[in-house]
Amino acid sequence: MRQYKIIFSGPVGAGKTTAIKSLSDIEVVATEARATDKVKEIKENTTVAMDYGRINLDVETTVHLYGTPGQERFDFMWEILAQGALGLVLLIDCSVTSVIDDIDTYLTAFSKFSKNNSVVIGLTRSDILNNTENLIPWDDIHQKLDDDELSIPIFEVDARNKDDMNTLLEALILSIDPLL
Amino acid sequence: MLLSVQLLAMSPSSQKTLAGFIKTKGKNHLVLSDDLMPDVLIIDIDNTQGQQYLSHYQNSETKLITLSLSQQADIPASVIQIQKPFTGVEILRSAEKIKELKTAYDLEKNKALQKSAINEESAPDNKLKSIALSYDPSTTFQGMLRKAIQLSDKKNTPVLISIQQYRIEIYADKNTARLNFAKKRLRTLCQFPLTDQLCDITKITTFSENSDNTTIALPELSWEVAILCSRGRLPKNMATDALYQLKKWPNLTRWSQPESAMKIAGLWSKSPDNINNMAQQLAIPIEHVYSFITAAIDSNLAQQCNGIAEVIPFKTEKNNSALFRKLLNRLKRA
Repeated sequence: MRQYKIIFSGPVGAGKTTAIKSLSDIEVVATEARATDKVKEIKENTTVAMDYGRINLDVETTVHLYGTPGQERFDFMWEILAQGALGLVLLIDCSVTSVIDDIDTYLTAFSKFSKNNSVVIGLTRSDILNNTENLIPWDDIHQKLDDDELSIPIFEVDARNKDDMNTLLEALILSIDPLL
Repeated sequence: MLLSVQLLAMSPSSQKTLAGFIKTKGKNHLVLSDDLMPDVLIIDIDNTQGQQYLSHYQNSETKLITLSLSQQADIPASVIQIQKPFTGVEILRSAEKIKELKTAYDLEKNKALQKSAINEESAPDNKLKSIALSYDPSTTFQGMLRKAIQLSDKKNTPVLISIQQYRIEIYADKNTARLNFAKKRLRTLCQFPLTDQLCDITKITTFSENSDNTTIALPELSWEVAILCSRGRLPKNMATDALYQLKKWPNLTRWSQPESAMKIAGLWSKSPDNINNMAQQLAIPIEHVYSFITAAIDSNLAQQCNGIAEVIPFKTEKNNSALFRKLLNRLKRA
């Protein structure tokens, strides 16, 4: 049995659990508990260990999907979970004012991993932004990636949308090997 | 055989009447279309705009068949003409004539393509092909958009592009644009050659309060327009052997994905490269790279390298190739 993994990380409420649900061939194992700290202002429940889903490619090959908990007090787990992963999917809520800070936090947290592995960024919850007639701050986001000398795929996604998540994973794979 | 038709320079009531006829009595012969190159343009030439369209398309390279509607008896420049007031029967009779003309045009085009294919075999450096696949953006909406963005940026003021009923407000300071039409209608604007006579570019003095206007980021607008205008061709001023660098990925979940876009972005984001090399390394038609690079340059995602730039050849690591292929196939099938 050949087993591989892809990691999903990002801030609380960005859509990691939802994204894994969109992609997984099995019912997602979500390790959630009622939020008691400031997270409860964002959502009722939050991931406290990791989410788990799976893509079965064939009888011998499985890609495991792991979602990290979003709260920063669990950040010690992030790089541990990422070890040996094919790549990292960062989901960032673009409807909040801290979007650039969030990108910075997670790129920094995974800086060792991202030196030798592929990372893609999905900007979620743009539907909330659209209701306010604001646009995603692409200029600021691109400037941030420029400053970090990164040219990585960064797409607007709806974590509930399987097509969006498939496209994000496709970019992850082709940024590893575009000659496929 | 159904002929695809575009109606130009008509009053709203004439457009509605003729469109209704085409959809009912004319449906076995004609179909209204937003295709890139319709079979025939029906133009009302009893107004200045119609005359400009007619003059323009008679002189253009695209060989579009025009059917003119006019109160005058005889318009020398017309390919086919119907005098007003006209009946539906006359439109349908003209459709038959147009089918014959189209067959002749298609034969001529095929002969020309065969000739260029023979020449191409004896010119393996793709030089002839790149000449055949080049175009002048200044005669398209792409060129008008570039001009308007440059003007808005230079003068630090909003700028308006007006083409018939289409209005595009450019706000270079906010990196956005506002359209008084749905984004899918951009295809119509990009179908035809445009000149300064057909397109007004002016500074905005009065602002539209219409909340139905579509707001769009300028990079996205530039990307979409460039893809639609390029259609697998390369702007004349771009060299296939110059080095270009992709600095940022396009937003491919929301923007149009031209063919091979993901692979081109995957390779090109790793190192500067030239167009020929990219097409060869990825084993894709060069037209795919032409479309992508044209759009990437226009939307400021990519730029030509100045000075010394090094191409870092990419080598596949064979370890997980089979896995990645399986995963890709799975993602594309889902």
